[in-house]
Formats: sequence, C-alpha cells, structure tokens
Amino acid sequence: MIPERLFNGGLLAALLAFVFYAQAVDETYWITLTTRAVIFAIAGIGLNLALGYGGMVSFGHAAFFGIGGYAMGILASHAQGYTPIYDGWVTINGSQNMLVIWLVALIAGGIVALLIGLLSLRTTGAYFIMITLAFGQMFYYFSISWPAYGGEDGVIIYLRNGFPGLNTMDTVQFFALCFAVLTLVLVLMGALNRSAFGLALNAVRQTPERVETVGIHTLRLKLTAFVISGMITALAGALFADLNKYVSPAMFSWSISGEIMIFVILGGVARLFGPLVGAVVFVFLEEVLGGLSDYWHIYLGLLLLLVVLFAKGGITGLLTRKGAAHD
Amino acid sequence: MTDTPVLSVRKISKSFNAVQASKDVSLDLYPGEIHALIGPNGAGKSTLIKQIAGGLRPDSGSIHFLGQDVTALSTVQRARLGLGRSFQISAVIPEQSVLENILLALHGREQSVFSLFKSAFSDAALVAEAKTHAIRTALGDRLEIKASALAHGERRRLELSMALALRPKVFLLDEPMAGLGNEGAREITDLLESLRHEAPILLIEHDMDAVFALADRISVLVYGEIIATGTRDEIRTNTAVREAYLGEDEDAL
Repeated sequence: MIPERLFNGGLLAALLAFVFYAQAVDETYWITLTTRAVIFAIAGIGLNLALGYGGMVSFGHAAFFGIGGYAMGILASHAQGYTPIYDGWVTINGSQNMLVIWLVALIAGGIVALLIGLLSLRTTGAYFIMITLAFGQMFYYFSISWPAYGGEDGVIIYLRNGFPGLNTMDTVQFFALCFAVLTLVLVLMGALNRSAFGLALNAVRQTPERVETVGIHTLRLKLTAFVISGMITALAGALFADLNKYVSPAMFSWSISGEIMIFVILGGVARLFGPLVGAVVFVFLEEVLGGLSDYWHIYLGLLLLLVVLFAKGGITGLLTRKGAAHD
Repeated sequence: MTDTPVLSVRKISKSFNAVQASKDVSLDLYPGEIHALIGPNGAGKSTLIKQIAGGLRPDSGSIHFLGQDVTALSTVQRARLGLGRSFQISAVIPEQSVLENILLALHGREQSVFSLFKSAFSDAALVAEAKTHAIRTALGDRLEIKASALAHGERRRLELSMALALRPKVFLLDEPMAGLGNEGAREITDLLESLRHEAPILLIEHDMDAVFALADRISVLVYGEIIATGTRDEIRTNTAVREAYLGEDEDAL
C-alpha cells in the first residue's frame, strides 16, 4: 500500500516522463494518446464530483461533454469562415482563442447543468439515472437534426485553436496545456473536497436527513455540485474537440456518458485521482486490446466487473492507503 | 408556568389512510424544563417528532416556535430558527470522523457551507469549539475516529454532540438512550440534566428511570392521543396512564 499523496504525485510524474520519452523516440502518437487520457480524466473528475462525492449517478454527462465540444465547433467554424454567429442589434463573432472557447464552454455547461439539475435532482436512484440519460439523448438527437453545424457529420476545423504564447498544433505543447488544465482542476477539486462544502456534500450522500437537521439546504448543495460538475466536463469536451479538430453528435451519445462513468468507477469513486487512473487504464486498454480485437470491450467489462465486485475504492483504492482526511 | 412556551404544539392531527397517527395533539415546552413524551410502541411518537422537526406536515393544527408559526416551514428553516434535533437511530455521517461530524453541524449553524474553496478546518475558533462539544460528550479522545468505527454508546453521544453544536433554542431528543446499558444511560442522564440550563428539552424516551429522574412534566401518548400531561407524581398516580401504558409493568413506577 502506497500513501495516497505519493501515489498521486508519482502518477503525474509518470505521465510527464512518458511524454518526454515519447518525444525523445519521436512517437507523437503516444503523446496524442496521453493527451486523450488527460482530457478524459478531466471529464471524469467533473462526473466524480456529482457521482462520487455527491452520490448523484448521472448517466447524462455526455450532454456537458458535447456542449463543450460544440462551443468549440461553433465558435471556431464561424471564426474560420469569417461569418458572425449573430448579426442583429449586436454582432457576435466566432473565436479561435481557446480562452474564449473555454469560457463559453464553462458558462454553457453551467447553465445547462443548472436546468437539468433543477429538473432531475428532485428524484433519486434509478429515476435520476433515467432522467439524466434522457436529457443526454435529447442533446444527441438535437445535434443530429441541426443542419447549421453539419448535422450528423459534425464540424471539422482545419487548425487547432490558439492559446496565447503557445503553438497548439505542436503535439507536446498541446499536451502541456491539457496537463496544466488537469493540474489546475485537481488542485481546485482538492480544495473543494477539504472545504465545508465538500464536507457537507460527502455527508449528504451518506445521511441526508442529518444534513437538513443542521440547517443545510441539501437540494441547493447538490445543485451547486452538479453545476460545477457539468462545467468541468464541458471544459473537457472543448479540449477533446480541439484534440481531434472535430466535433460531432457522437460526443453527445450515451456511450460517452457510460465511458466517463467507467473512468470514475475503474479508477475509484470519490477519490481525487480516481478518474485519472481510470482514464489512463481505459485509453491503454483501448489501444492495446483494441488493436487485437474489435470486441475488446469484453475485457474492459470483465475488468470493470472485478473492480465493482472486489475493489470498492477502484484501482486507486486497491493501491493506496487513504491519508487522513485533513492534514 | 407563567412564562410563554418556547415550543407550542396546538391540536395537530395526522392520518395515513385509515390510521390516525396523531389526534388533536397539544403540548407545550416552557423555558428551562424537560418535558418527556412517553408512550408504548406504535403510539405515534415518531410521527409527532417528524411533524415538530419538519419532515412531515400535519393535516390540521399548528406548531409555534419562539412565537412564530412554523407549521409550513421546512426542516432546514426550523433548524436555522434553533430547533436542535437528535435521531432515535443514530444519523451521524459514517465515513467522517467525530471532529468532522461536529464541524458539519457547526458549519450548518454558521451557514458557511457555500464558501467552496476554504478549508473546513481553517477557522481555528470553530475547530476549538467542535472539540469542546466532543469533550462535553466524552468523545474528546475519539476526535479522529470515523463514526462508523465508534461503539454504539459513543455514536449516541456523537448524535447529541451534533445537536449541541447547533446551540439550539430547543432540544428535540428522540430516544437518546436507545440501546444503552445502565452505565451509558446514566452518563446521558447527567448530560441532559446540565443541558436544560441551555435550552429546554422535549425528550422522547423509553427508559423510565431516566424519564422519572429528569422530567419536570410528562405527557403520555397512546394511539396518537395525549391521554395525560402532568408532573411525575401526577403521572405516576394517574389511573388512565396505568391502565393504558404502565399496567403491564407496574414496577417501572
């Protein structure tokens, strides 16, 4: 058993080392894969706040992932074509600046999470899972039937969006950017978890009646967590679309919701670094087993089953000793 | 009892289909007193508690707290007004430590839950206060232990500690001695005796020794109805109470 802090630090260092090595042997594809895992991890960290800490099993996080993707697709395609998004009493232009795109993704993700949360957080258990799934599917079918942004074909952009001072088309630099975002999200999530808000959110998952009895509005608490969760997953969606230079309705599909959930469960529910572990393992298996057989999901399913049955804290829980809750 | 009551339940009724769980229940809690509510199993004590605490809305009647009609208020609103409730079945947070459990109550009281990125432990005064509540309930040396790892008696005391931390205007204690042995029950009895000076207590309790040792007044609930309210001696000699409730075990008196 490794102390959790050491494990977490080691994991980040190993990712960096792997990318340096890949760069040294000139395997840019490996760097792209690592970037993919890092972005998936951010999406998973978003879901983990709702699912892991708050006990809200959302099966519709693809909605936020896709919204982030389309925030990128819509802004970038207009900027690319020199056509304004809206040209009425005010003119809104597209943008190829990642900072602008991220901001729009965060705001749009937050607003949609607020609406979905308001409508679905009054339910729990299977009903909550079904309602969130239904919202996710609504976005999927809407994006397919919306011709303005390619319908089923989605939107392709030719150049990755820019970030001040970086050449984002360079694989390593784009990785570094995503890695920095991941680190920032981890730091914020760690602080959130140690705060009174985190304390209450963890409590509401376990004993909601007590939380009300001490005068804390549980619905408001869960809604706030759900909104932050949606925002983080939307940010990951914007990065994912930029990684592929492409966004399509596939980002809204329910299988994405399932995959994000797999990162969390595989890595460790309610563990800060759980989604990162889960995403890295997922991308690794997808690459290695996916190369051997189209049916590699069978092995993924088997692994997931083993984790659910025998390792409650996921892979992270298996390998680490949880440190004191505060120190 | 010339004071005005802190908590006043006026003729509340509640039925579930054909079962009338509360029937014109009225009771008052005055400053400084311990008012015990007793009654056999199934008498409707839990239903009454839920209506007072806010989880359940009465069909008719009203509940006044500190002169304000709280009948339509939620559990959260009543808690913020100063209703400190403890649960019959310990509702502590199993995966959190004793200190974290008490801090949760303190953050609830201070309404500091929505400061998202500030450590729950950053307010030294609050942490110090949490420790004093723990010490008072004899949990001072168990601060870092998870609630799930506590012994039953310790969990009962943590339950009280969290109610204490709210600095309530009224304690609403649902069988604080449930499942405790003689030793444990005596400790809680002493604690409650000292608590009454901070806020009056509405005590739902099965332990007759404790009830007759502590209560200034006792109300007896049978089939959803209060059949008698009075001092210890009045209840002890009340024939209706003896027949309905205490007859089966006269030694209890």
